[in-house]
Amino acid sequence: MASIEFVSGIVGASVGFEGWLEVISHNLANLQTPGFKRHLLSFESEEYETSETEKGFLIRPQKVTLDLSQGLIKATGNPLDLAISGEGFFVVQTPVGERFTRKGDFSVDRNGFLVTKEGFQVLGEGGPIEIGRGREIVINESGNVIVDGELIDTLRIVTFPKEAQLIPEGNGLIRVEKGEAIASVEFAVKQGFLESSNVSPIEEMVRLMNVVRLFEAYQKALQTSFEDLSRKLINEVIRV
Amino acid sequence: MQALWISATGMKAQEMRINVIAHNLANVNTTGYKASRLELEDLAYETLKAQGAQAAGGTQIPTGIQIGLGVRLSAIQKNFLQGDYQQTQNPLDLAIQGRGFFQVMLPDGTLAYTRAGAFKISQDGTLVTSEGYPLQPEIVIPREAQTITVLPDGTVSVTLPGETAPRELGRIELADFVNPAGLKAMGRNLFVATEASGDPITGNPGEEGFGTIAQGFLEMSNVDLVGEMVELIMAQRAYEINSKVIQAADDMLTSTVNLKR
Repeated sequence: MASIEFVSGIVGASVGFEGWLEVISHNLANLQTPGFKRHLLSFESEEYETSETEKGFLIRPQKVTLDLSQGLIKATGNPLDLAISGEGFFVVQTPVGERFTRKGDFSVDRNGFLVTKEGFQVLGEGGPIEIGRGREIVINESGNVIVDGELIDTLRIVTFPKEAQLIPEGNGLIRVEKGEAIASVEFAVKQGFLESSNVSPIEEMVRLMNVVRLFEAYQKALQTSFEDLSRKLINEVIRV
Repeated sequence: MQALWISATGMKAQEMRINVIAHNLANVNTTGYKASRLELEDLAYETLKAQGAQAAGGTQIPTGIQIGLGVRLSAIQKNFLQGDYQQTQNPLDLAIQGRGFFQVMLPDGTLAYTRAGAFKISQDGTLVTSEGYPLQPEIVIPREAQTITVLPDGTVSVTLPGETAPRELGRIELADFVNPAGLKAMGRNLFVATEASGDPITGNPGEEGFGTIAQGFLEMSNVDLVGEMVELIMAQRAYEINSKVIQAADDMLTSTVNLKR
């Protein structure tokens, strides 16, 4: 039986679907953003009583989490393109503190420091990494930066405990709350490669179809219950 | 329906990417051309529910909801990897093997930098680019010169009629930058220095990290044809998939609108 609570539940769920669609469209817009990690939206349901005998469920979006699974590693041939195979993030110094990224399309700025595309310095064990006008830049799998045969620094590759919250900030950067960075051990830095986005177009398309059809189904239910409600209202008014 | 705009950013980014690919492919045979590459990054996030905020029951919200707003262009970067060499036999075709740029003087007196070493001789004998911009420091070739030799270290010498020993005319100087990717492309194979590239460092070919000069060769475009074709396919598909999301969002809006009949 339709009730006001039922209707509001459906409306709430529909709003949730809109959020879901936004997450899907954001993932698909970043299908080819290097180092991008897919977003997952999870829902929570809340039980409520519609009458003494019936129960309803409200569904609403609960949280967005990052799917940290490895993206494909694509060769670019550019010596300053770095990809992490395995666990961990590069550490970047921004004006608002340290941020973390898997987007390794670095450059050298006018002062010779290794920087991101926004000009933020990439940090090594000894702070910013000065490459200068080096001819031959070799970065090996353990992150050692060797310029013209001389070891300059080692890239800081960090990971986080399970309870840490990774919050995407845009520009490929991630802020971390509630968790101290710890040095990652299971990784290999690949020079001349970039990590592709880990968004799977097939999965997202399936989700997209799913959300559109579910949304329609909810709309249909909403329409039916509206009709149901108004019929009930008319009948009861007549009886009075 | 935010999804419409989010997908639109995706379509726009892919459109830009196709522009870049088209430009690279159009320059697949341009001497000294350096391929461009488009870099994307995710846009800022909208916070629907903040992490760590107080929930109704007094508990803290552990993860919150942040909805991404799409994608944007982060950079279009020139790839300064060495291009292949083509043998031309022309004594005035010079290629740089390694780092560095030829310096040429623009009509307004500023310096521009190029890797396209197809030089010509102007009417007064100076070495100029195809556009007529003189190479710096200027080198004047006497009209009666029989042969012109450019050594790997940049020394230019000619043999004159009646003389057995070659006469040295000067030395080609190269310029380099800490961050060549920060140079501004002006078209016509020319680059100018910017704040990002840093000031030019000049030196002699073959010394202090500079490349050497190969006479009778031209550096070809470094566009990787197969790679660009793959990129093109990927860009087109990504464009399509983003347009599908717009359709889906539109379908959802239509069904909402149809609630009221």
